[in-house]
Amino acid sequence: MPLASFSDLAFLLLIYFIVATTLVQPFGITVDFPAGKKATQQDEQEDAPRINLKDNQVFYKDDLIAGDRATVIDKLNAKLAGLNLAAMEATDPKRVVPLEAAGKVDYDLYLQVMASISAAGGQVGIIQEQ
Amino acid sequence: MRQQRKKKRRVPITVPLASMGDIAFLLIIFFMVCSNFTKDNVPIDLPSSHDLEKLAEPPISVMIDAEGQIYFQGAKVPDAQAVEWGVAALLEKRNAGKTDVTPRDRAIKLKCDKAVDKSIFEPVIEAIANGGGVVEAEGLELQ
Repeated sequence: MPLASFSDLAFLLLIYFIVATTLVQPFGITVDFPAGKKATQQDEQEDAPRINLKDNQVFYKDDLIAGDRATVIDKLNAKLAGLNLAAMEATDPKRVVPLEAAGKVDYDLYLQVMASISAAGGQVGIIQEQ
Repeated sequence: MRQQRKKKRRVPITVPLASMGDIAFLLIIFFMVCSNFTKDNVPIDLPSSHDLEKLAEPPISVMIDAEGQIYFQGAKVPDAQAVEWGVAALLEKRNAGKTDVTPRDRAIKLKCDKAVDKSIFEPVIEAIANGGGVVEAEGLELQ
């Protein structure tokens, strides 16, 4: 009984599994949203950072950040870096950056803003639209 | 006198090939055991950002495709409420008996198409948070 073809089949299956195996590691951000109480405390503080997204535009403390998408994210990163969020305690309510979205907002912009807040050491707090 | 050269009898060299098949099957079994057959077969155009980091694969996944259809563990669900129930149930089952539950134990992978509107993804994100999960939002790294 010719057995040479068995090893051929074995190598074919092996090549299939080597090619089909996904070795790409996914990229992303980890966001542990705070409970509602922390977000309320943050709102009560003066000069609290607040990011609003409205119709795919970014507002920081109600001021529009103008420019194309890359410029807006860079400016937002600069503003968040100035808050020194990474140096705060992990449980400090001042680390929570409220994020509110209104109108038409794409997930692309939403993720980029969340990633900016996380990279600056802040914690994302979603404000529900009333 | 002509020297008679002795003709060396060439001995045929045979390479035993039987073990190659054994090795091939062993490697196949290795790759079959190590492969993760994920339920991520939904076509999704991921968003991209500079500020992303490498993620390990959490076992619980929530996906939203370009049409706004929500998938929980690869199965279609009607709304975000179903995601919250599913996340709460799976996390309770997975972390039952654990005294120290870390954020890694509560990780939920979220894959959402970049063009989806906030009216669809925001309730899903809130549902994951309300279910006790930590959102691991997946994206593409911008170079």
